[in-house]
Amino acid sequence: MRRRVRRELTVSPPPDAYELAEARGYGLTASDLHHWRPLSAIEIHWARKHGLSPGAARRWAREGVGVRDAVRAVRLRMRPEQVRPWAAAGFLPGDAVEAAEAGMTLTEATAWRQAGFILPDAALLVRDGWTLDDATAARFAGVDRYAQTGR
Amino acid sequence: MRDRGGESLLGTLRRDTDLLEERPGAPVLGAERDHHPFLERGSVTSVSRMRVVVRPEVSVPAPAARALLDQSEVLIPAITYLLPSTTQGVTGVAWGRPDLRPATVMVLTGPALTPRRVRNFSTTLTTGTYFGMRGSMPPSSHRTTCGHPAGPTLTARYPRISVVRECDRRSGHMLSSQRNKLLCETGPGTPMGELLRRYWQPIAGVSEFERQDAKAVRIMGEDLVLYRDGDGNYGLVDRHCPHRRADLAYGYTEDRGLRCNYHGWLFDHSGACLHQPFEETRHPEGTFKDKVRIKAYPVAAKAGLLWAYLGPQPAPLLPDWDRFYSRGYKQIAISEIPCNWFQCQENSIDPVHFEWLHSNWSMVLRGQDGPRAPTHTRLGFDEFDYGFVYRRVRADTTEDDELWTTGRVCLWPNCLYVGHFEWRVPIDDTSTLSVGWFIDELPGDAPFEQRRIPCWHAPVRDEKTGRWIDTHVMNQDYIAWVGQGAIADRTLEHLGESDRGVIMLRKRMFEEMEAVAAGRDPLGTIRDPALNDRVYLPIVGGLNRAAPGAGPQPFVFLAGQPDEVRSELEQAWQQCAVASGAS
Repeated sequence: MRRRVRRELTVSPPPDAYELAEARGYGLTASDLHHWRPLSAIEIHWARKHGLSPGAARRWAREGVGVRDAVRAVRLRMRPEQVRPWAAAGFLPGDAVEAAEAGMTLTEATAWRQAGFILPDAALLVRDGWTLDDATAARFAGVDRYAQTGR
Repeated sequence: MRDRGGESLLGTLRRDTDLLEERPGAPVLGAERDHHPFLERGSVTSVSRMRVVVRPEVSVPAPAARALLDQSEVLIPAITYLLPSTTQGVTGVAWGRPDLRPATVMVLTGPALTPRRVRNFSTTLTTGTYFGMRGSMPPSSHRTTCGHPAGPTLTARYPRISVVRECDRRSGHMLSSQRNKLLCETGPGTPMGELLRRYWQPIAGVSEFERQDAKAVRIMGEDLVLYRDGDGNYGLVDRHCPHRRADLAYGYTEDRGLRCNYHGWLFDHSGACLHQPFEETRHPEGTFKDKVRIKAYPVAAKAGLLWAYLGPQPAPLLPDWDRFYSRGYKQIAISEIPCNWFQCQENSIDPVHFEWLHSNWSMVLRGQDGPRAPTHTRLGFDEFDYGFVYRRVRADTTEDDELWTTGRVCLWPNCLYVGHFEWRVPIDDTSTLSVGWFIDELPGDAPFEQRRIPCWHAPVRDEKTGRWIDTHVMNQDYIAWVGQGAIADRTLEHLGESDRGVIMLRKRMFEEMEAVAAGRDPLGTIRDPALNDRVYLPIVGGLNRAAPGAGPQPFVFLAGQPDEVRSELEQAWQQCAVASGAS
């Protein structure tokens, strides 16, 4: 397995032949990799495709939000710093974007998590019109049945 | 409100002001005239199960609408919603038949109907099959006015109708059975069927036609015959002759097509009827054959596979993946898995299963007591033009490892790509054609040309025990998939952190079904020839990976590799090793 060191955001090493080949696959040049470092080729490809600038991508990356989520966040007019409370609450930074798409607040997301739902699952359920109470009852109905019979 | 035939009501439609996006210039999908006289005036109405696109070019007065509704047993009753009689009886009605392909929804408006009233209606649904119908109006620039003189043409945007979602919550299930159906059902006219029909699907190996001319195939619920005629054209046509429904899988091929063995009608790969022997004897100048066609789909050969396109024309390009050109010995293995395709594809974006299903379980099966496989510690997902990339960090790797920096590909819409390809092609809703395309790197760099790519059929059951074969990687996957049931009941799931990819996949599938219903090309279709030249796919280890030094490796993916295939690989290896040594 090929491994190489990519330490910090600002000191990523120059691309090797393998990375250059991968970049070419995405229609990128060595110059692109340099210009966008430390983002990976696939991230650069997706950012360019969706009009995310290198600076914006890096700002989101510093908050722990990858390009895929950053693109969605920008569509929602979110700012990078908006994910911090989510990260502080133990969510993945990208979860903030998922929640925003579903119209969930941090308080609501926390309640869903405490009830046993990971955030993307909760977001899908919220979009489908579920309330937390209904969803909790439905999810654990089967499990509770076993609990009642002593299993 | 109308209660159709005394059926119970499911509930009140929720009015949702979150209207679907408008799409200037969007084509109307699958437009089809209905035979009803009101629609013969040139109205165009279309629908899919996910999205209703309505052009209310027809207006009729309320009495006519009511009369039409009374006749509607012919047309419905998948969905019927009535606009309330706020002023004078039934002011409008829309109905559809999503079980048809393309389904038909018509909107009739009455003189009392105004945009405001449309936006504010609430109504009831009758029982029936509801598949997430949503209605929207085309933008005004696409409205036409050929309404009935007695009433205005509808000019409102319809409220978003969250039929399925309303039903979800009431069902008490997590992912409702209705939503599950959306993911699983691939027959003609189903949303997923429409989505998958926008892609070329591998359905057989070219080498299969060295020993046969025609074979019956079933793809997405359609019974078809795949054949190669004497001129070398491949055809994929309806399994049944349109004459008297004889089985064309028993037909015989000629230079220009496939001839039915019953009365000799001959069809070419485009579906044209070329010859009707007795008819032409009796009526040499007759044109009966010109009026008869058979359902036919285009077939193309690439990379040793035969690909079929079952969707609307124009077809997208058949992807020209770069891996097809890698130097190495290639083989194709096909299995039939008795379960729904989507649970197979969910496996394509489920990194954690590898640790348990393949690594740890294999150890258990071997009777080993050793340390378990390194645990997964982090998952990541990216997206690119042709699917998702999933990335993983394990206890024995870091984020500098290619498993994280490059990742592996969940190739849209129904494939896994990890250096080899595994397509999951629906045969029907309870069985899946697993099509694997594999490559073994060969030593040296001397040119190697493979004359033919063998295609073999991999067994899934142990003939002696009747149990599923568990010795090989994909066989282990099969055990997991069929264990989920013929169609996995997702209403009973409890999803966790390891399922983030699966959730992402489902969400995107729903989005892409909507895209297709709205007339857009779904993710990953290629139409620009300039972009379809050795299309890059991420691959751990790079495209031109070194061959293992120890010689050809055992085939670990599927049980049942024929001896002759193994032998061919060894010969290829020897040939390349000698050439490499000589150079």
